[in-house]
Amino acid sequence: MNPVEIAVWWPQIAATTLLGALLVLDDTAYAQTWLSQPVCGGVLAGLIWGHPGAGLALGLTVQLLSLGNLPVGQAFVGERVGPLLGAVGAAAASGWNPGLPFGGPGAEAGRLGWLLLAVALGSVLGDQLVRRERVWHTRLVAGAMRGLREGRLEVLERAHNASLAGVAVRGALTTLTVWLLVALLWIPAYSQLPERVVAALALLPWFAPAVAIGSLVELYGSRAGARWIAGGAAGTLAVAWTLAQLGAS
Amino acid sequence: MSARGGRPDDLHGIYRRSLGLQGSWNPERMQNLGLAVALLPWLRRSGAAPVELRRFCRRHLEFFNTNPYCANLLLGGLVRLEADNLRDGATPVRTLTMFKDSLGRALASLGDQFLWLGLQPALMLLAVLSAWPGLIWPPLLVVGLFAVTQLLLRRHALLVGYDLGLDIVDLLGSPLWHRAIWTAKRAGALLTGVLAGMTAVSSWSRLADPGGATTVLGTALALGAALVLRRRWPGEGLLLALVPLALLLSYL
Repeated sequence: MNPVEIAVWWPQIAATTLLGALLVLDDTAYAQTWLSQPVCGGVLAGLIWGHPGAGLALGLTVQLLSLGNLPVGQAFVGERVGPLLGAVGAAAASGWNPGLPFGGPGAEAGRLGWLLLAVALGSVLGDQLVRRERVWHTRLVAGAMRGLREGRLEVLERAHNASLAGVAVRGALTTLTVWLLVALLWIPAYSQLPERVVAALALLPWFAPAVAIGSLVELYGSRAGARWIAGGAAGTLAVAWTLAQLGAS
Repeated sequence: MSARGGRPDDLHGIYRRSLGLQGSWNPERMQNLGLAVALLPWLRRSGAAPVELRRFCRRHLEFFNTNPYCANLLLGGLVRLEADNLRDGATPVRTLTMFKDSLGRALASLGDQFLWLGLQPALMLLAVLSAWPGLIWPPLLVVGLFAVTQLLLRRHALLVGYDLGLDIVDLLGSPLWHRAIWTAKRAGALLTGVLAGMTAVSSWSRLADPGGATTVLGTALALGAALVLRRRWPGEGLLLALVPLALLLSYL
């Protein structure tokens, strides 16, 4: 992709960047509606680029990875929103349209695995950014408290609004940076990968539900919880078996 | 300052700001600035003397942390107690501080149990499972419904908190909390089972395809690794740790 091709996509890039700012705000800073959850964020970014299916494929897989991450206190929060939106946009701009590996043909699973790897790396690296941003918030609060000594209440609002603006700017910049990196470097590099690596990448989307089940078993792993998990699994397998029998007859 | 039913008009402004309670979250005092800023609309119109304003802000800039979805119950109660205190000194400052700290902790515990350990995993599992065949609208519908409901409930909680004041504490004893937590966690566990069943069916149905057996084996091994490593690793970290396993399996 060259600068001229990038320029063609500017309305979509601008819209995705704006969506990145809004959804990162929604993630923890404002309202927390859960529209920033990967499965929704992916679809929304996909709709901007005219490929909601590609957004769903990546969003659903990233959602599975993050199901067990608890957004409390100082726990790992990751920064999956910006990388996810950027990756969905870059994939759509590059003509990649990875389908869902579950229930569908999964022919594009290698590409989906490559994008998933980019989002996971982006999220782990972005977590450090979030931590630094929170330290910056501490400084803003300390500054506001100093201003308060002079009796100026507006310093509190200014510090709080600066924090919110900082979060939005982080979201926008992360989305834009990931879009550029994935579109210009990550996706072109895929064609250089050895066949064996591509085969390995095709397995990664299948690891996502396994990771989700592993972390959810941790969450609900009491004796009573295990019974409900086993019940849900047995019921699903029974329904699938019955449907297969009906289909065969 | 007062409006219908004795509630202050400022509750609308407090509500809008309460949604950004975590906007300036920091590791030292967590939601303190968010709380102080949310209460400012009421404080500005309270007519308090400058010295009292500074004391008020300092009081609420201490450490504060609670569940953001339940916080409005506390915020409403806090405005009520501060207003009573300002009017006739009815609520001692010590009671105010204790109310804020103990209720904040209790709501953090109940809210985290219900929201983060129960409802969020359950609802997101529902969104994922509804999108499993490749449908884009069901997850948006599930989450959109949650978004509207929680925004309305947070608004309602602010009004209830203001009306109840100190009596909010009685609400915490309601068995409804524990029933809601139990139901959300069991729903999450059941849907985890459904996810496991659907993963098994999806991978099994590809067994005849080229590389299908490797897919089934890889999924099983990844599940085993996730069960062993689950306590320490976030999902993204686990996936990165599983890349060598995928490379190894590609030799089969």
